[in-house]
Amino acid sequence: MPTLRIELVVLLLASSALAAPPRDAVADEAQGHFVRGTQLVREARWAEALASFEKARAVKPHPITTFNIAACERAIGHLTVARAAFRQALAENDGGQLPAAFATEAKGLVAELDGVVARLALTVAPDGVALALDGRPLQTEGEVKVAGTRAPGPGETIPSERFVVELDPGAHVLVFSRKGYRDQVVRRTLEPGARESMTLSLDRLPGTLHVSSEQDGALVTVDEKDLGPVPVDVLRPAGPHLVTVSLKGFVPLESRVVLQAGEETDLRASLKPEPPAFYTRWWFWTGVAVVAAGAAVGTWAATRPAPRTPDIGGGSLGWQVELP
Amino acid sequence: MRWWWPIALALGCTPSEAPLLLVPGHVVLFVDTDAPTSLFDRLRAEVYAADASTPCSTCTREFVVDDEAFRAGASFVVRSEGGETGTRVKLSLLRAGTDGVAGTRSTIEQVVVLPTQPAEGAREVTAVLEVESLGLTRGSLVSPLPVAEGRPASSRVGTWSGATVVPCAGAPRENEVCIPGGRSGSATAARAWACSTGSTSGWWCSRRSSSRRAR
Repeated sequence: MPTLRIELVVLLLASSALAAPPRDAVADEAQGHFVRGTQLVREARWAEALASFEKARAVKPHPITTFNIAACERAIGHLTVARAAFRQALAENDGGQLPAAFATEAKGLVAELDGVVARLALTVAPDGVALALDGRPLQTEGEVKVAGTRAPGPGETIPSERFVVELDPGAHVLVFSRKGYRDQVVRRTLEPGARESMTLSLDRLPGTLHVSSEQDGALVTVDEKDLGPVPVDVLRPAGPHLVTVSLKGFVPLESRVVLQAGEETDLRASLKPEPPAFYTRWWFWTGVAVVAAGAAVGTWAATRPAPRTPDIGGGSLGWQVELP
Repeated sequence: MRWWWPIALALGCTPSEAPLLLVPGHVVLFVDTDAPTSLFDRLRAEVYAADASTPCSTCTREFVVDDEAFRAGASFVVRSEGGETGTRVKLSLLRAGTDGVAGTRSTIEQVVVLPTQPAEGAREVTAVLEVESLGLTRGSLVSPLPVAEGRPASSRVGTWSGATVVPCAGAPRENEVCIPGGRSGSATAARAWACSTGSTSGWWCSRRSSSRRAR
């Protein structure tokens, strides 16, 4: 059927070209590509024909050329692209350049393709995932994402967790990606007209924690698990972690580090020497000495006998005369 | 470092005896005599403060003395708080009567002035009462005699020449005992005590009669 339609269009174009007044070089170039495309169609060389028609449209757009492009895409199996092209042909036909029968045909083919295109309802966690389907971003058409209609490129972010993708029947590769999460690649084969759903969840990437210290031999614990002396490189799930760096003679350093998924966090500890114990400080023992000396003096003063005057006696006669 | 060392230190520093202060200044007056104590048995001392004409209430004392007391260095201490000078001491060697009061005629009396009291420690001086002054008062409160510095090297008690023992010559006659005696020059005094208290001179004395003149 597509072949017949295109041949018909070719005839129409040829007749109209003959009947039309002399044209410019651009029109001639477009007609040349168009005619070449029709010849390739006859030979069922759909890809080459598609290229010729696209060249013709690039030089001079025309609803019939777009119709033929849609027909070629359909023949190749690019159903979503073909559907979009038929819709575009209809959209470009505001001047009635597309014969009514072809317009009707285009509408019919759009309806047909609606039924043939597969629909895949996706539920992806977390939200904000970028999806590339067969190496192309998706085309947003209302509530639906359409695959295969855009040029090859990286996936684009889809804000919602739930969405529907229309795609050609057959085998596809879906690449889900999100920063901080491990990419997930899904191969999926869909039957024509399939209505399927898929739920998946991306795994968070771990964070890399690098712990070092200005002091050699400092011991590292993460979440109370001993990891040995610095330097330490560990993978830990993204999120908060309790990191402790300790070394004898230094004040342990404890820090709560929030690891970002897929990122490396470098923690460098600068331990401060422990203040010497109070009983090793000079002022402590000086105070002790002062207190002890005070206690000694106080004890001595409190317990010593009062000073006594030496007994000068009274001579051998035992008489001491004390003059007033 | 142990916790108890401050306590031990404190206890170790506790004195076991009271400290002694400096020895206050005072004068030690030694009294000596050459008289035999068979003649005197009392020593009276009166201490007069400077410019005082009477001894203070507690400044008179009478001692019983004998040879041994003098040989031991008979002495007493005089001290004044202000270290005043001019302190005088009236010393009297007496013999106690039956009433305990000695007559002046049998007294050796002397008034001496003490030297200046030292600021610290003892100053030893000596006053000697000699038999030659018997019945007299040497010195006065107005013009006291000086004292000799230092203590006597040895007591002169009993060294008065009149008290020198003279052995009895010959054998006693019947009813006589030998009284070893001495000086003959003081016959008056010697007669006064011969045969009454034991003699200091070589008299023969009868047990039955009051005395018999020795040969």
